[in-house]
Formats: sequence, structure tokens, C-alpha cells
Amino acid sequence: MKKTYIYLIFAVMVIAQIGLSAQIVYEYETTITSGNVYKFKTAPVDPYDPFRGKYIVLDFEMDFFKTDSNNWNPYEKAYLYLTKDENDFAVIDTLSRRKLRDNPNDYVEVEIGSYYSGQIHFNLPFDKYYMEESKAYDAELLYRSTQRSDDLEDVYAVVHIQNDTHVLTDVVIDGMSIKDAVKK
Amino acid sequence: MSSKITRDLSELVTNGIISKEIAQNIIAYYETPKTENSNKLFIIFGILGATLIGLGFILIMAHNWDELPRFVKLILVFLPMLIGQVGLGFSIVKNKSMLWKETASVFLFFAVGACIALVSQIYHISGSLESFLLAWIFLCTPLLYLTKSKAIIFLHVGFCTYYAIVTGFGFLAETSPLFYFPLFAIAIPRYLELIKQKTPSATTTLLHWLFPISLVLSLPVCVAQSAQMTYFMYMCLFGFLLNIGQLPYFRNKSLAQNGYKVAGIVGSIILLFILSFHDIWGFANAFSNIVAQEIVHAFIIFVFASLAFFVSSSYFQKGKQIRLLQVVFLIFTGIFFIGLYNTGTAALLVNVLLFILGILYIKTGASKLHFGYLNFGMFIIAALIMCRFYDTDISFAVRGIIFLLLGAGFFTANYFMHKKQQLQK
Repeated sequence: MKKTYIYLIFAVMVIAQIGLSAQIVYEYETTITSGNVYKFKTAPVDPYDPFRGKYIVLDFEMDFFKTDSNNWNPYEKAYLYLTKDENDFAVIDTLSRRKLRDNPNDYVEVEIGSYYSGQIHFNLPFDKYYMEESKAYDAELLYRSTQRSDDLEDVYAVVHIQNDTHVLTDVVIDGMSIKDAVKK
Repeated sequence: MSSKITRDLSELVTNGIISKEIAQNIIAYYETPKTENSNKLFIIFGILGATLIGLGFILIMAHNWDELPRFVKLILVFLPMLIGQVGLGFSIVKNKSMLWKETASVFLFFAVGACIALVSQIYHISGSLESFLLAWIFLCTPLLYLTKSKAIIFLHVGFCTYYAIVTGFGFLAETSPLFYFPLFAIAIPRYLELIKQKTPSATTTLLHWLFPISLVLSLPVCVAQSAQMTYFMYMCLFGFLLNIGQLPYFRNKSLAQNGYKVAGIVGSIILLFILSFHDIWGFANAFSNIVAQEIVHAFIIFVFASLAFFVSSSYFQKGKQIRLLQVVFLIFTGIFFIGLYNTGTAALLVNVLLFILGILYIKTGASKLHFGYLNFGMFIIAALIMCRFYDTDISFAVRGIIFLLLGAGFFTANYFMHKKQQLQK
């Protein structure tokens, strides 16, 4: 291959490698700084990913939408529009197959699970929270003890949402970030 | 040089087999340092080192250091990728040795994977393993052609296979051949380049195994849910591999150097044995529906297998006898269509086919005085009889007698063959 082509391919590859990663960083940083902040009531459990390390899986209380229309298929994508209550907890506005131009609220893309007894169940897209490997299991134990002491209201995920992007920035247990709560 | 050669040389000189001069030349040859071999060794260690450093970095960062601020983590994540890019750029511009190029390419490959994985860790992105692998492979594909790195071919095909396994297997897995096959195909010109090199290398031999194994493991990306289409596609794939293994390039190669032939033969025989059970056909027809996409995929694989058969049998090797195994996928196509309507007949035909294959191998073994063919044919017949034990209600005593007869048959056939071989000598 000609040297010029090699340089060209190398340059394109370097730009793509840096560009793609940097674009993700830019998008998520912008969402953290200027997106709306929502709280989602949740419960964490602890598995791991071979490349990204330990994380806790969040099992959200908000996982269904009441509707009479039953023509939804499993694994279908849909848009969940959100508002907030007085304590900044997320509340469902509506669920739609398409983006709603006249709806000014924030939205996240969800995956439909199943439909039964007038409820469409869905999976929120921010269900993994990566933690320092030694802390993930302790976080799950901490959550279990919190659950036993009937303080479930105090466990929630903090999510920043703007346009098509959402960033999960923290999981709070009893008013404290899960990272700090585990240390105690 | 080993002391055995030194001893043998002096013995050969004493007995007048070789002259003193030749003995000295041989000694000089063995004592010359093998620069090429030591370079190869350096390259292998370089690749191993880069792989370990890359993987070690991924593991260290996967610990997820809570104490570090986000921007420090980001710097640490981007730094190895930038180092890899600078290293590779330097080795290309300065046209450094292959040691440099291989090491830099492998290091950059892992650094890119680490960067994507850890950015998604920092922002808690719940993306799937499939999308992560796809982005990683896609961003590193140019490495295949930038430095002629051989290690990258292994990494590229290996990770494509990993991606295919993640997407293709599992309950309710969807078909996704659109990404696996094009990414796999991108590596083929590099593979052909290595094949065209006059001196055969261990790398090329390993690739003769890697490519067919990748295809065999990844075929489920073409399947949505239908079991009978899976059998058909696999039979065509094994036909394709077997016929590739019969091309003139592989003619003088041993089985250890011909992964295509081994995968094709072993795969075809195992699949035929599976399909010799009537229940398998009945189950496949009862519990799965054929999807239109699967028909298209099966047709494409069939066309590729037929082309490989055409090229290997008629165009390049005129007059050479076609082996039945080469056309098994074509015969099976007919059986497959019969099986859609009558499963009993299809299972019976597969049994007949296996029986004929066994007899043909025994016949070839006997006429060529080849123990391998003879025993392979007898193995097929014996295994076929054993498999039928599960279909029929035969008493243990009769089964025992049949096993004894089969064992005795193996001994007798090999004994007579050995006798015949000795007589001919």
C-alpha cells in the first residue's frame, strides 16, 4: 500500500478513536452540567462486567405505565416522558412509541418488557451503577439492611437528563451517596 | 549445537560417509546465530507483553477508583490510547521493525477497548456487551492494514467471533449477520496475502484453523429460532469448509495444517449422526418456525458451499475423483426438503447416507492400504449401529454381543490389512 494511503488511514483511525470517545465524554459532561436532575426510587444488587468491573444493578420502582392499549411487543423501544414531584422524584407523564414534538418534558428511551392487567412494564436505560470493586457487594448489603429498617423511600438514583442523553451520577441511601455510605 | 550432532558428525567423518570439510561446514551452519528466529521470538514476546499490559490496564481501571476525580480518571483512560497512537504513528513514519509495529498495534488495540469500556464505566452507561465489542472492533479495523501486523488478524477475527457468540447464542437471540460477516470479510485479504507468501509459516497454519473455527462458532448469528434451518445451514457450512480444504493450495498439506478439511469432515459426520435420530427431526418440525430472513441466509450459505464445491472439484482438479463427503451438503439439501414433510423418511435417508459413507471409507482404506480410511469407515458403521440402540428396544445381551462383534471386526480388519501391507512390501 502507498505510504500516503497508510498515513491517511492512520489519521482517520486516530480521529475516529479519539473523536468517538471524546464525543461521548462531551455529551455526558454537558448533560451533567446543564441537564435536569431527577430522582428514581430504586433497589441495588451486585453483579460484574468483564471489561468495566463491578457494578450494582438498580431495580427501579418506576417500571410500568397504566394504559388500555395492549398492542405492545417485548423488546420494543419507546419514549418515557417525565415530570417531577415536589421532592424532585420522577413521575411518569406518558409513554409513547414516537417522540412527541408538542411535549416539552424530558424523556428517556426505554425497552418494553411485557403487558398484563392494564400495565406495560418497561426497563429504564440507566440500571447499572459502577462502583469500586470492594464496595459493590457491601452496597448491596447496605441496601438490604436499609430495606429491613423500612427506609425504602430514602434509596434513589440521581439522573441528569437532557435531549437524548441521560447520565446516572449517584445512588443515594439515607441521604448519603452510596460510595460514602459504604465506607461508614 | 547439540552434543549428539557433534558426536554423529565425528562418527560420520571417521567412517568416511562425509568429508572433514562438510563436517566443518555443518558445524559452522549450526553455530551461526539465527537472527530471523530470534527476531520472531522478540516479536512474540513483544506481542505478549503488549497484550498483558493492555489487559492489566483494563483490570486496574476496572477497579473503579472512587477517590479519583472524574477528570483524572478521564486523563488516565485516554492516556494509554494516545501513547499507543503515538507509538504506532512513530513506527509507521520511521518505518521501524516489525517488533515495533506488532507491539504498538496490539497495545493500541487493547488501549482503545479500555478507553471505550472505562468511559462507559465513568458515566455508568448501561450499553450492552455487543455494542461495546462492535465499537471496539470497528475502531481497530484499520490496524489490519496499517502495519501488516499478524497479531491483529488474530485479535480481529477472535473478537469478531466473541461478538458473534454474544449476539448469536441465547434464548430469543436475534439474527445479526450484518456486522459479523462484513467485519470478518475485511480480514480475508490480509489472510490471502499471508497465504501467497512462498515460505509457509506457523501463523498461516494457525489462521487455517482460526478462520473455519470462527465461522463454525459464529453461524448462529444467521439463525433466529428455527432448529431445522440451523441444521441445514451448518451442513452447508461444513460442505463449504470441506471443499475449501480440497483446493489445490491444501493438496500437499497434512490434516494438522488443514483446519478447513478437519472442521468440514468432523462437522458433517457429527451433524449426520445427530440427524440420524428420528426424534431430532420431529422435535425440530414441531417446535420452531422458519423465518424469511433465515431462508435468505441459508440460500446464501448454500450458494457459497456450491461455489466452493464447483471450484474445488471441476475447475482446478479435473479428473480427480470427487469424494462423497464433498457433496454431502447437496444430498442433504434433498433430504432436508423431504424432512419438512416426512421426518421418518428423512431420518432413514440420513442413516443410509452414513452407511454408504462408512462402506466407501472402508473400501478406499482397503484398496489404498490406508489404516486411517479403513478405521474411519469402520468407526462410522460402528457408531451408526450404536446410535440405533437408542431408537430400538434390544436386550442388553444382544447389545453386548453386537459390541463384541464390532470390536472383533476392528481387530480382524486391521490384522488383515497389516498382513496385506507386509506382503506388498
